[in-house]
Amino acid sequence: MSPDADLIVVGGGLMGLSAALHAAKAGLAVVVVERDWPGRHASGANAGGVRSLNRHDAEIPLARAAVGMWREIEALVDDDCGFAASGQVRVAEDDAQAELLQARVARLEAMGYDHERWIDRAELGARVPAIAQHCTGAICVDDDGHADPQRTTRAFAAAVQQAGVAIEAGVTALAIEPGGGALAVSTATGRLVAPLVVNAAGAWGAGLAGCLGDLVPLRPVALQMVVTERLAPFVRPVIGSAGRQLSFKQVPTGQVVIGGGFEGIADAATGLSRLDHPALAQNVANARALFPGPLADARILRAWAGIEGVTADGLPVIDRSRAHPGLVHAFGFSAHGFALSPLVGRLVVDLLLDRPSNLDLQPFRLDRFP
Amino acid sequence: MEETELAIIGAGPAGLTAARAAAARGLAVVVLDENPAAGGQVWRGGAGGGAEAFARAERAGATFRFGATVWDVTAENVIAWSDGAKSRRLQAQAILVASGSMERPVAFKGWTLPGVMGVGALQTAFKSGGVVPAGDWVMAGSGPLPLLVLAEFAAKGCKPKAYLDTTMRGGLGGALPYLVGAIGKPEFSRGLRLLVARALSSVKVYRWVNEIEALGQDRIEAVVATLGSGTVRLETPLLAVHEGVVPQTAIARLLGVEHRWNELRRAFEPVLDAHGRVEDRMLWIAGDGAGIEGEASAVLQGEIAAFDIGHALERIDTQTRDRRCGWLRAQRARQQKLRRFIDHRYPPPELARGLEDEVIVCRCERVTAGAIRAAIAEGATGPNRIKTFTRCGMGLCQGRMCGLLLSELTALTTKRRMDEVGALRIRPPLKPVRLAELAGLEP
Repeated sequence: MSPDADLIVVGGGLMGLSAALHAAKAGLAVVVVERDWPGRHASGANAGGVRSLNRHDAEIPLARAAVGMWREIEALVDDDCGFAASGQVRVAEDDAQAELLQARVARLEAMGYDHERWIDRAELGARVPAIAQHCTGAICVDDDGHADPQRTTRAFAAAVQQAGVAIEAGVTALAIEPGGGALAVSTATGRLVAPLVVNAAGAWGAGLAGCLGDLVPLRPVALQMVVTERLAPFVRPVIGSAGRQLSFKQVPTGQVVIGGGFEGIADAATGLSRLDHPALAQNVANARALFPGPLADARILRAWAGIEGVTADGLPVIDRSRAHPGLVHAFGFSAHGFALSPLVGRLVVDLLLDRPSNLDLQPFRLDRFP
Repeated sequence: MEETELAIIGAGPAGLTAARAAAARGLAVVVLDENPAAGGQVWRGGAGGGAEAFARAERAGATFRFGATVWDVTAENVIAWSDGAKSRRLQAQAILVASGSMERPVAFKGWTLPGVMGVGALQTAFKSGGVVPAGDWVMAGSGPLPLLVLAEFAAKGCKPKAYLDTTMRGGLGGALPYLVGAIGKPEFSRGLRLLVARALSSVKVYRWVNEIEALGQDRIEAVVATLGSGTVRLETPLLAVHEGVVPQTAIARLLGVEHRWNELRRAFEPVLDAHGRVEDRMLWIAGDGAGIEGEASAVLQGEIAAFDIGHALERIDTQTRDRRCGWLRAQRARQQKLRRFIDHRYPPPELARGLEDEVIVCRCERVTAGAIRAAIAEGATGPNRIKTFTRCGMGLCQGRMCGLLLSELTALTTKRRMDEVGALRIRPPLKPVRLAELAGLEP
């Protein structure tokens, strides 16, 4: 059977699109298969945080490299993706939290990182005048920021198509099977064959990996997000807290986007998700605790939950399949993949083409799961 | 969380009738309505049969919560609602959605100018506050409602400057075969006809109007109508427009109920069984929200649903339900004949046809028809993708105003059927809710 392409990317979310883009730039003929449309799930429904602040140690080098790519995202996809280097701030709400955050900064410094730093109450107040009075300080990264997820996904999809890649939307990949030295992706509408395949199927990634015996404990999770009506500008950086689940940002429209990893109810089979009301109430209460003034009378316009795959250890899988060297998995970003996406495509193509990488992918290997 | 057997959303003709019928058979019934009092649209302020229907439902034991804004309904029949200060939840064994209709949103040049409003909105203001526009106003549209409102306002000495009748040519001819079935119905009573005729005789009527445009800087100053014979310009501070009503489908959409496009009525309608039930769910829809059939049919549908709900909850045996519902459905069939006449007499406009690029489709986010066509050209082929491309439907009204127009424009531009194009996905909250109300949710 003659191959349909050099590379088939399963999943038209940001990770898949990024992989397709980097692969096309490397001269590969690429086809993307996407069950719905680009950005239908986690890539379009996330909070758009571009954050290296408070990352897991294993992810810090990736996140720092990715932040550098975001600064020049226009060179990659010919659109600024709504990226703003607004900074990210993680506040301490009492002395115990302040101590923990300061200890983190010291630990990172000992590891050779200087991107995170501690700011005291006065500097926090100067930077975020609307923050609640009880906050005692914060850690921050100044060149972190946020981007527009929908716009980013569109820009990546457009750039991919510009590079000659076909995006087959509405095509669900059912299985990936080795055969005759190549790989076949069977879909509801037929089979596609290529020597190389990328599994970037997000919450559905583990199912496809499992076909080949690559077992990854992955849970589909519906992460809830809330957006308010337009408000007068009152906060520039993205805000989190050491003491509560919260991700809080005001986007250019003036609307406030509130997330923080509160779980709704996910149905991976149908791709539908719904809200958990008490979790939503808690999420909103957390936001009000940090910004009591500006949110006093603000109204919520919309809430939604996007389906994302969360691994057992909260770290993604970025690794070659144990069953077939032509298959690379990149999924399970566990609700903090958006920021990494421009970089992940490059890492995946490095793996596919056996190119050396200066970043350590050891922590993201498949074999960490027994 | 509060629990009940039957939760009814909407205290209009269908909701009130169902509440009375179900409570009278011993069901625990809670009725939620966002208005301060019962009646819904057609019985607002206790008009028509409203006051009596409410009194009977209350006497039968139904509990009413007014000022209750429902902001989410789940597949497990949990209703999240706010009383304006605090959110609460209600777990129901069965839910009846009786949320009625809304005016068909019509877009034309200048429609977003202050001073342009729906005839229904004008009537609502009139019924709840008695605000009557003084003399100098213009009505435009088609259908029985503008005529009724015209008669109503004329009787108060507040007739409009002119009526721009947009009813299409051929409507009457097409409707004639259905007239036989419609004769003798109370909606077309001799008295009412006389009243309308009298009002019309004293108002300047322009017929066969096929286009209107509102002009003005900060608010409407004039309306220009295009007729077969040319254009007419009328100076006016107020323009009331009405092109019929369509079902409120937000709750049913939120719950994933299948909808089908009714080409004659140019509206999406939920797919229901003969009792108004959604297949395999403890969910019923009655009244205009199930398809526009009017007040009398809504009353019948409310009672049909109540009997079927009583049956599903094992309070009413099959024979009793079937006997009662058989009679009610025969009554409803007569109302449907009348409705067929109205449907043909006043064919609804195709909202998207001939829509200029500069006309605003989404008023909240100020998205034009041109921007939507551009998004379609860029590859956004359905309403939900167009929403993410253009922000159409992302504003305060949650797409209630622009949703139908967006679907029609998409279908027309991509040359597909409405059922294929579908509608905007509905996300909670159904209505904007303050963070403070939500944060205070009872566990």
